[in-house]
Amino acid sequence: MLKIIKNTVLSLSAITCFFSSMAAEASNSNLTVKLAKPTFVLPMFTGPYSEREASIAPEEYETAERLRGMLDADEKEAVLKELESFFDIELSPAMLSLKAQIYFSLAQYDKAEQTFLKVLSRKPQLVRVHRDLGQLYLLQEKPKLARHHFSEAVSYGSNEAIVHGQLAYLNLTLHGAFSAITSYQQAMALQPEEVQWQQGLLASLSQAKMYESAQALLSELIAKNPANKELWLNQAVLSLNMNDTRQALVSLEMAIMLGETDDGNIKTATQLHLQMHSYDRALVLIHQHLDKSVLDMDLLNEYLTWLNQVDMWQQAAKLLDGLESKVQTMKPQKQSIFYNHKAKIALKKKQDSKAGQYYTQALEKDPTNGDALIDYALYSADNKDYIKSELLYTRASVLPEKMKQALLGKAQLYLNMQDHSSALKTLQKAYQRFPDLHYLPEQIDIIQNIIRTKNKVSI
Amino acid sequence: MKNYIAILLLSSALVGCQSTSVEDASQAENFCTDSNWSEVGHKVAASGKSVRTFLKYQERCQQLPETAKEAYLDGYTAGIKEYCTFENGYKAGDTGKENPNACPLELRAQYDEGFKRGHKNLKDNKAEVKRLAELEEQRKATAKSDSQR
Repeated sequence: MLKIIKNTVLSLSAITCFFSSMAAEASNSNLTVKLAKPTFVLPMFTGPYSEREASIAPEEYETAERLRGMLDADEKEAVLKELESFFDIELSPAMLSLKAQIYFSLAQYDKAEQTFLKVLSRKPQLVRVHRDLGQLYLLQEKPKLARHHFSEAVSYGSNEAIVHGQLAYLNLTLHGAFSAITSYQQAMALQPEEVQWQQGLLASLSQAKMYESAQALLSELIAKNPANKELWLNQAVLSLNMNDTRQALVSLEMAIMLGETDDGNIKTATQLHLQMHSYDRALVLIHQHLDKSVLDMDLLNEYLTWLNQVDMWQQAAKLLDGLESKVQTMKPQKQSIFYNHKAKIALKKKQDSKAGQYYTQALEKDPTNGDALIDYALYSADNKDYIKSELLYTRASVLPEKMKQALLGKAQLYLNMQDHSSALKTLQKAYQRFPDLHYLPEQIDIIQNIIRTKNKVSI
Repeated sequence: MKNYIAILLLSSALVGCQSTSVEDASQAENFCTDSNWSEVGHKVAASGKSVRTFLKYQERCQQLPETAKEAYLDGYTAGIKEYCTFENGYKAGDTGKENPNACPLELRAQYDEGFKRGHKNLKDNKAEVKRLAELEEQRKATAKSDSQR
């Protein structure tokens, strides 16, 4: 299964919201490409309404003019004091909206909310108030309420890109991709160059598995901004969704060339190179990655495992050369992983005794290293040291994540040793514990027959 | 004896005065502390008075309950919405009251229109009464001159 995860990035400028994780599945291996999530920046207070849907009362004209001057001089507190000297019902909805906006801008959110609601109770069709209240709720992380007010704003005729975009964003997070697409398209129609809407629409189309539309949009965006690595990462995700691993790899390489450094994405590119047999590039990426970061044994372990899977043990050996001093500073568990790999490479080099030493070291560093226990058990069996092998399998079988492998390995060991009754007991135990091993009953039957035949012969 | 009776009546009258002022004070205190302020606000609005009537209550009462203002304003807001109708405007204009200008902007137009029409109706009625009175005067004057002839 391919898993593509888009992460969220917190915008710093004002208020940022983010898309929840999105996942899509395709193909047959685990690959992850991390994308910066579409950001969402809420505009802060921008001053009094320059155009009011709600008109002010004639007796307020003089006051309004004076307050405008005070706002221009950034005297919000003074304006608020003056507005607070009136009862709310004495103020026109426009002036009351102004009061709510000032509360909002001064981060007095509860008062802002109450005042916006008072305005709407008097004039429910004020689209700007719905918009502002929606933004307030977004800021307060009340997405359902925010969505309600953005949808009210739209239904009362708002045609601002930001309202459509915010509604789209909330629909995407609350109700799924299909409910977001049209609103993103509306927002994009009004502000075609706005990155938020482009990203949002792209994310929605991808989530809705409308890959062809997403691809068309993405191609257009890449043509306009070929040096935008995020777009190339998006292209990689989309290509993986469409099972086009070659295009995914090309896109990832473009992103890397443009400065992409995310560990997960570098790993995915490496894995894709290994899958597509472009080993040289895979190795370059591995080396670059390992040189650049503090040695991460889990990462190294992954790389070594992949190299081992494609039988590139010489390259794996090169990778390990020179790391020993770094490894000594690591925790014993991490050192154990390192020595286990050293042992495997020694085996490939037919250096059996060295391999034995490394396995021993691996288990000295971490007696619960399941991989080392299993590998060492196999090695011991190959070297006819059955008792040691049995002991190692027994140790591995108490580790939950290795129990299945250990029991099956142990059963195989008994069969190799012609100890059918022990093999039978072990397999029965394995089947009891892991009923998903559907092929075991047949094996058990065969062994039981062998035992019966042997018993008859001995009688 | 007459004097005694007079003193008795006077003192009982004084006692009566004293008990009335104590009662008033007590009633005022009860009004301040025990009123349903939402209802008070509603009634004030229903009579077309300004929301600022509350300030008088504040002056009058030494201590109002904490929630009094909010409840009053809630009641007033609901009440003024009910009050500011064409019909109430008409009634006020038709009965010669002054426009209290208490209606919020969004409700003002309908109330003011009613008030204007009511006021016009009152004016027309007055003019009609005046005309009829003048006619009556004329009729009386004519009848008087006829009888003298």
